[in-house]
Amino acid sequence: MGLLDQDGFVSELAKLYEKRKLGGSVWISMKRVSRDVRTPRKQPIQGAKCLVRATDGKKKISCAVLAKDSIRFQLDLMDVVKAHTGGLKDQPKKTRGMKGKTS
Amino acid sequence: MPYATTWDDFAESARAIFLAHPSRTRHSWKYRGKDGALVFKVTNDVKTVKYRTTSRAELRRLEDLTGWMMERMTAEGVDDEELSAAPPRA
Repeated sequence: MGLLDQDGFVSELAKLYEKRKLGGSVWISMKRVSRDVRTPRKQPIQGAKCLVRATDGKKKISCAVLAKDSIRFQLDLMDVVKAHTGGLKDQPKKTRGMKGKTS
Repeated sequence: MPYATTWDDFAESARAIFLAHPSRTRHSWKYRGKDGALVFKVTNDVKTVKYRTTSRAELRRLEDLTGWMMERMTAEGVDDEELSAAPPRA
């Protein structure tokens, strides 16, 4: 699977997480792309973007994010990450009072 | 490569790594459902920093760092030197 639009990426990512819920891992990575790699020297910087990729080791998905979409995309991405990282533990509650104290 | 022991150490190193080489830096994380563990990694191929957690509270911090990265990674009209020298917002 190649380059998707942002909404497509987010929904495919959710599927990827679902598939790897019980075994395996899901990687997400992002990097800055500020020039066209096919024409390295000729092309000046015009419209940098953030390339976001995700994989479970088999299937790969990616999408490009421009500055104007970055905040919305980040919120969508984090919603999916939060929704599918249910295995994380909640912070242990602080123990209060006399626990552990001997008199 | 080194695992940071606290989030603050990790985040500080991660930002320094990005600012050193904005176009070469990758910000990534891996979630393993079976173990309920998140591993964060930021590298610019010269320096790498990683951090592992099983705590839900760290998601909020991931959000902050990702926002910071995203803002700079999508910054238009600036080349790498400018990005290193004068970040869009401190």
